[in-house]
Amino acid sequence: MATKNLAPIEKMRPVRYQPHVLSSALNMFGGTTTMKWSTLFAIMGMVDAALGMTIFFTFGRKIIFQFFIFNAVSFTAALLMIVVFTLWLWFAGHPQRLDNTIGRMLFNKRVRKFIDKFSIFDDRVTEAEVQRITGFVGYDPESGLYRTLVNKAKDGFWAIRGHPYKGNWCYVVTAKPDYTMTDHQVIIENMYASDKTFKAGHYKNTVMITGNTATKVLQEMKDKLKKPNIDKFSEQALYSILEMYRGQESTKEPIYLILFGLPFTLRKETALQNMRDMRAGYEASINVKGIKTELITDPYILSLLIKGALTCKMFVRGDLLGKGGKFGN
Amino acid sequence: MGIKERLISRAKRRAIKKAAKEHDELEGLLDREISYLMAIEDVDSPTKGPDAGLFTIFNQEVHAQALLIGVKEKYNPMLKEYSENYDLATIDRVVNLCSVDEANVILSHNVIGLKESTKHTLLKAAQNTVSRVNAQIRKRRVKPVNAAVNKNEEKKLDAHTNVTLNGMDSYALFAMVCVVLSPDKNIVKDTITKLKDVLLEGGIRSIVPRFAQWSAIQLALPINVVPIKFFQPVNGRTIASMSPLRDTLSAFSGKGPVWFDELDTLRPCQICATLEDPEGVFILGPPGSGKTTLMCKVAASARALGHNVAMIEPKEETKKGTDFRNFVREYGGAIAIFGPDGINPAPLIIPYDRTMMGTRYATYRKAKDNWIDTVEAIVKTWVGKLSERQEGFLVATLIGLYISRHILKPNGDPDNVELWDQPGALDWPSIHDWRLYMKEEVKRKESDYFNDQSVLSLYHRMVKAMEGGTYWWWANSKEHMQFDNKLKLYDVSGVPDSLQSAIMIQIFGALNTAYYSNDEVEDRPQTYIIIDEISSIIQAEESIPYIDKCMSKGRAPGVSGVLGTQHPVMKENFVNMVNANISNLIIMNNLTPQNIHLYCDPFNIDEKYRLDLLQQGSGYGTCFRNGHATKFVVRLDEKLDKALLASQRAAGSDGIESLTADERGFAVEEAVRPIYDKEHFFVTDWLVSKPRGSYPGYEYSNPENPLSRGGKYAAYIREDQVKKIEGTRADGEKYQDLVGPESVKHFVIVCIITGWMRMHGFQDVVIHHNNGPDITWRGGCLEYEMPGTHNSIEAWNGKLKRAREAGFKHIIFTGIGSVCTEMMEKEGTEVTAYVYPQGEKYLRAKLESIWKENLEREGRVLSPISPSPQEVEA
Repeated sequence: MATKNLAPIEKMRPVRYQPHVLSSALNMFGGTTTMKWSTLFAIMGMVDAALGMTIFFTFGRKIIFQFFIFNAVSFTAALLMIVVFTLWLWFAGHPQRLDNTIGRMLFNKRVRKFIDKFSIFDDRVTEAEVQRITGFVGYDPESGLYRTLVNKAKDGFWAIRGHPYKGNWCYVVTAKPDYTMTDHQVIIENMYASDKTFKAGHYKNTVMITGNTATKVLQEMKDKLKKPNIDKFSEQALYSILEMYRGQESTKEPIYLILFGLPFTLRKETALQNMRDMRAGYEASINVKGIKTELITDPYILSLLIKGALTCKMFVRGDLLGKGGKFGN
Repeated sequence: MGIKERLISRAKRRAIKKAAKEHDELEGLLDREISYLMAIEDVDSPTKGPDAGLFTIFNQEVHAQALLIGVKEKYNPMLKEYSENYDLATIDRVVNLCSVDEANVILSHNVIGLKESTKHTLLKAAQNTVSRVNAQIRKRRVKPVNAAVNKNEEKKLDAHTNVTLNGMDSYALFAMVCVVLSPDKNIVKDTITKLKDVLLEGGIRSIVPRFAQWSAIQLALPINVVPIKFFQPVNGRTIASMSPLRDTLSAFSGKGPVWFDELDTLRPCQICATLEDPEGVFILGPPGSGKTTLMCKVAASARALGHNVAMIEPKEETKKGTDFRNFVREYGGAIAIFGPDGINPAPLIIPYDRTMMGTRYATYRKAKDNWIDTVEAIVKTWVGKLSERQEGFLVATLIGLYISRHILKPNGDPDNVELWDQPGALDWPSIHDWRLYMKEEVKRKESDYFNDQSVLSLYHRMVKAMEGGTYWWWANSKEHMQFDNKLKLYDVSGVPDSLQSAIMIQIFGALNTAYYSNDEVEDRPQTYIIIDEISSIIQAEESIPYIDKCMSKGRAPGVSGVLGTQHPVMKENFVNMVNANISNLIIMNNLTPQNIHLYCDPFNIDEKYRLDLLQQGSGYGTCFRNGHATKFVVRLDEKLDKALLASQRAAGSDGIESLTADERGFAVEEAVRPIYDKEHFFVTDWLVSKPRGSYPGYEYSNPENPLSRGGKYAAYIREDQVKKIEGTRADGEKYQDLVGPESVKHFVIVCIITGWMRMHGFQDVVIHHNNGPDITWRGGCLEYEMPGTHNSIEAWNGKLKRAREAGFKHIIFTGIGSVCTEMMEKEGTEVTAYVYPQGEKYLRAKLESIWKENLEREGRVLSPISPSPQEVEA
């Protein structure tokens, strides 16, 4: 039974437990930025060469021996040469610098177009722009199904044409893992077995949001303290323990949500069927593996969770969807 | 395609477009509000300054920063997304780290399912790229470093293609984002740095994307916006291993005593025993590593929650160590001392407590059966192995003895059960009586064992139980075992080693019997049996099944065992029992390279946890539970700290009374104790111990000090003292708080003045709530006036008159400046000469002059802090 000098788990791990990203196989020192940079470098070179030729032909061979500053054409050409070189150096002197410049330009454009910066109370922000923030455009209160905007692949993808997920329906469930205290490899195998039932063209977003519920650990003690028949020694001990954890009540405990994105369809019935398939397939599979899920049908709860998470004002008391649960601040 | 087909196709496209438009319009009208409901109100992305593109600000106050996980650094492509050091447990640490104070964290795990054909396309594209670079290498068109990277990548890609083709893995598009949000930008930065460090340590690279923060945050939210630029094809098992659906501490929260605090987050962890699973715990650690402290913490927490705690102490502690005795005294427990000087429960008295076990006949029968087995094990442990005939003789004589004493009926069923738990009501036998009965049984002609010398040897082997024998104190005892106290210490340290295991079985058997679960008794408290130094007890083979019984699931419901030892070399059957039955294994730190294998090998502890166990420091350790490890620290609360300190300072002595706090866990100066006891009021300056930040159950107020200029007190009144009635306060608030008939402010200031007077040795200082002056003392009285109450001249003059009639030498009217001015200057007032406005200049000066006058008259010096005279050596 005793095992001495166990090798580290990494050494023993079979190849399937080694992480692998397919895009790593690309030529690591090539890439679009380098190409852009090279092109710009060539253009800058050509412009500078043209300007140099202009100066040369304006002065002829005299340029080598004397510099005639009062010639307007040659002076402008010389100045432009310096400006072009400086600008190139400033904005695209290095692939990283070029990338930064392009990123900043696109970012400023998105800010101007109310994509990266907006306020829904701003009159200039249109309804279409508000819809674009979360993508939600419709919902079905009975089934908890949301209709959303379709994702567009502006950036493209290196091996797939367009966007690999173009769904326009989704639903959200809460999740509660109960299998945590088992071995990592068992967890991974369980999750992987469930993932096999996850269909192509679907999207899954597992979100963990930290919220304040560690109070429940101390709440048991507080409740005990309120009981009338509590004896002296229990009371002393409870006060002492509560005092030690004072200030720690805001310790976070995570809330798990899973968003399931369904494939594109115009018919709500088809979307509902897709949802039923997902619930009976992947969701049932993870339920068997110890992750309890519960559907959120009320969009108000979801909006409170999203806004609460983004504004740091979220706390959840009691069961998330159970009776008496309270949300928001 | 012909013209006809083209036309049909075009018509179809138009029809779909039209239907989509109609659908959109209809739904849009119905659900227009959903987009507004879901949208965050305000998003700001700084475009200038050093933070441009690095932060997103929500609602003008919350700073957010997103971190992309498992992403290659673009400008340093040598560093891969996941390195060779990739640790499967990294995500656990990330999840733990997300529980930071003052910040919200969103961790998002995104997967897009791919078609089989797409997966193949991706693999093929990757293989083609590798082949292309290989061709470039052959033609010497690439740099040597790129060639090396490509070679490594080719090897890895081949291995993974193999696995994928064999159906053991697959690929999907994957992205992971972590967003940290806080109003404080520095907290966000710090948390992101910590997360990056933890990820890097676990072999995962991460970057903060510049100028793409909002789309990264969108990806992290539970919405259907999917920015594809963050996704990359990753193998399925890595995706599964990165899932954040693993709350590492969920098994440590629920209802039960707090065991320890998780090391990274200091979250309190509970191990929650249930009737189905007693959640036994085995604690292993070298001397001084904090085992006993951990056990005391569990006992304190369990005791606080109303559970039963039975502690067994087999060792004699030195003065420097932590022992259970002083802990139990401090927490109001009872101590049962075994040994020649103690009160020893008789081994043949069947332990029964009807309050815990009920009065069902079947329960008595089960208790009897259990106890006969226990007695058999006690004797075996004591005298050694028995032959089959001796075993039969032992049980037969025991049953016969019980029948002769009317404890059992002739058919073996319990008799006189209503008298079982009443001491003295039945003639319970002792071991000595049993021995004599054995001898008679051998002499009896009708007996199966007539003149059988082999069974009579049992009688001789129990010779130490004879009168005058070394175990006479135990063998002749007729004491019942008591279960009345919730915290009980069974001290067996004074028992001879040869008998220690037998007595341990006696205690175990009694606890298992007494706390046996019964439907008749509702809300049975959980019982924790805590045994230090189990290795000294398990020397006897027979004891192991008894320990096993209290540790294994379902065999002794409601009883949880906590075993501790410092000796790592244990018997194999004990180790097997621990491995099979105990859910929680705790190994304390402070191990050394020389002994670590002794502690870890029997339980197959993985190498990766061993480095932590080598670290030094008392109270640190790792809890292993179902193959998962949680690093923890044992932190002590104030009371426990005191109890253990007392234990360390005065081990073996009773000198801990001075440390005993009052019933609320804190104490005030003796001089002001009557105010605290009667009025349930105190200010922090009166406390003997260091003030705390809060006092649950007490209402806080921050009154001005009436005896100084500008000082303030932190004052507390017990919540139930304050009566809240509706009305309008002078300052316009809706509610009026009263203590008795007075307002809280009045009450607080009167109490503070009284406290000052008592601390300065004024005699017979009493507060009056209903009639008469607010404060009286020997020779004087004081009236405190609040603005807006009893401020008529008649009322003041009447009070003065009554005070004079009562014969008070010193009469003081006081209050805030404006009230005092009114009292002095209002027409017709007679109290002018007695008004001393609150503060240092008038009221304090007056009270100090009275104090000095008292001192001069009594001719003694009083300490301003302690009014009681000090003892002086002769």
